[in-house]
Amino acid sequence: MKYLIVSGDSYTDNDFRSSCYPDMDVSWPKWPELLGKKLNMKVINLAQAGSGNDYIYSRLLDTIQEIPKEEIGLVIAAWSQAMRHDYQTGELNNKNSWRNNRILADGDLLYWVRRSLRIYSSFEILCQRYDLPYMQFQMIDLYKDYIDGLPPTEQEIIEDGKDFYTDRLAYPGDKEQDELNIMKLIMNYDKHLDTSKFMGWPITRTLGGWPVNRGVMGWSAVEEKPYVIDETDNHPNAAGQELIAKYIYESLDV
Amino acid sequence: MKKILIASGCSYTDNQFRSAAHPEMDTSWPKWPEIVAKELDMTCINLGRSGAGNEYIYSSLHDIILRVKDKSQIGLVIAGWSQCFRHDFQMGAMRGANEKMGFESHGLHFKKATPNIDRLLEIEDYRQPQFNVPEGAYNNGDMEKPMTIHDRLDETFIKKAAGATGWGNNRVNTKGDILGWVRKSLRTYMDFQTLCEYNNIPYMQTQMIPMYIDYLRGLMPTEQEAAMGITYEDGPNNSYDGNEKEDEQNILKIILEYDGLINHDKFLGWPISRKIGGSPMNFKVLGAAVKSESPNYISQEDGHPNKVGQELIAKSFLEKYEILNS
Repeated sequence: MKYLIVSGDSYTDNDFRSSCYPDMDVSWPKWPELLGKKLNMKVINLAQAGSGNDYIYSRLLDTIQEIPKEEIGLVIAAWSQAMRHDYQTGELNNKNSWRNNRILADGDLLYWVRRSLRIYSSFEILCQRYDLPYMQFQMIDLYKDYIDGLPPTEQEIIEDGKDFYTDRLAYPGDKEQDELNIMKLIMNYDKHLDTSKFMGWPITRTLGGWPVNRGVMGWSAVEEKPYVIDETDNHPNAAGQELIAKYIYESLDV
Repeated sequence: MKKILIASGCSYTDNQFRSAAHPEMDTSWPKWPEIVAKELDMTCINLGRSGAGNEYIYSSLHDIILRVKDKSQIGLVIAGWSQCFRHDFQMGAMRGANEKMGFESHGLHFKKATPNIDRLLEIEDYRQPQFNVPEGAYNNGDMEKPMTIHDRLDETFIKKAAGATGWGNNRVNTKGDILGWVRKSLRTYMDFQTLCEYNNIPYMQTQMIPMYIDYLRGLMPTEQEAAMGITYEDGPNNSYDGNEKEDEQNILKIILEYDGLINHDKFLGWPISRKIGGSPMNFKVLGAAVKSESPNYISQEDGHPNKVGQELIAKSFLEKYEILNS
């Protein structure tokens, strides 16, 4: 049985806990496990809630280097937001050695987007270099939440009483101009990436693409309602995870 | 048409390098990428940048390699890696560079949004007068030195055209620890190797200056700080706040985890630390002796390679190139 190796953020994390509802049993199967069953593969799920794209790629790279290539059946990267900052501490090299911040301290959104796109390119080159079957997609929006004004976290809403709309962090740049530049950056990678292996490319609705959470579960609160925990915690529920797994499976050429 | 040599690195590689300890010194001697390119009859694209860390070095190489459509035009790529604890970031990467370059975008006409790197490849020698540098390419605000300094303006154009502008850096990353930074750098070296091997591009890499030891020993004031009389005697910067010996052992272990992954033939000085049989390029080629006694450094106050030092570094790469191609 070959390995299905997956990395991502909270949407993919097998140990996901709802910060809104800490006591909720959220142990329903996540999409990597569901997909692994459909593909008859052993699952290595490296995902961690809160992680950014550096974490997602680094863990895939480290794992791919450790496993004989012929034992790898499929590698999937489920990318996260560009502004998240991952870093590692300590002598161990595992999930617990990683930390993250919600926003990178240095640089600006254009740099963070560029950085993520380089990571996507490096992931593709790594898989192609070793002839590994792979797929990648933007699980949640790359930049939109930040440029629209980053809302408080679910935890901040529940514990600190912050308001989703009024307590947003104002975007510090020229939103219109910067979004236009981000479109250019994304389109510049159109010729560098194998877009047939990038589900939802070019990742943003403005360009005709989509992040998986929106493209699969729905763009509006009404559409996504059956597939998310609730309106406060919009992580996929059991039905949402099944829908994502089904969509990915059907997108694979198997 | 000549093939191109693409190099990136820190101040040891930067062809706009200026001595912080001796600001008036003419440091316009040819740097190793230009010397190697000349010897190999290649056109040089030198993306080296003083203060840069390994993220800049990899990103600058990655971006330009991707943009060269016909990869067979690339004759050689060399990465001269820097200290792992440096932190690179980019600001306004699209706003400034491209528009000053005369590659303005209009609405959603994406194809005009980035400088046309093909222009660099179509020319025989970008230093020749026929190379038409776009109006405004010089006007980037960092042109403090007159044009007499070694092709400074043309080189700036090259960096802009390669998209390697808008970068800033911090001397020390504020997040994580030395073990995490070492791992991050080693992953970056692997990414570079994979990128070149996948595209069948001839390459070499080296640890140009020590990766971690300066941090473990306690950072000294920079040359600029020293020139300003700043010391770290009373500050937090002069000592390592971890267990130096234990952490160095852990670092060596981490480096050796990559021993089976790194292509030793193409990594000069691997495994990069003298304690496990490798060496950073500067120690090996320029000598680790007291800088004032070495003819290869600028001075006791400035530990960068002088003209002779640059030639020695170039010689090392050329010798390796010959071995790899014999």
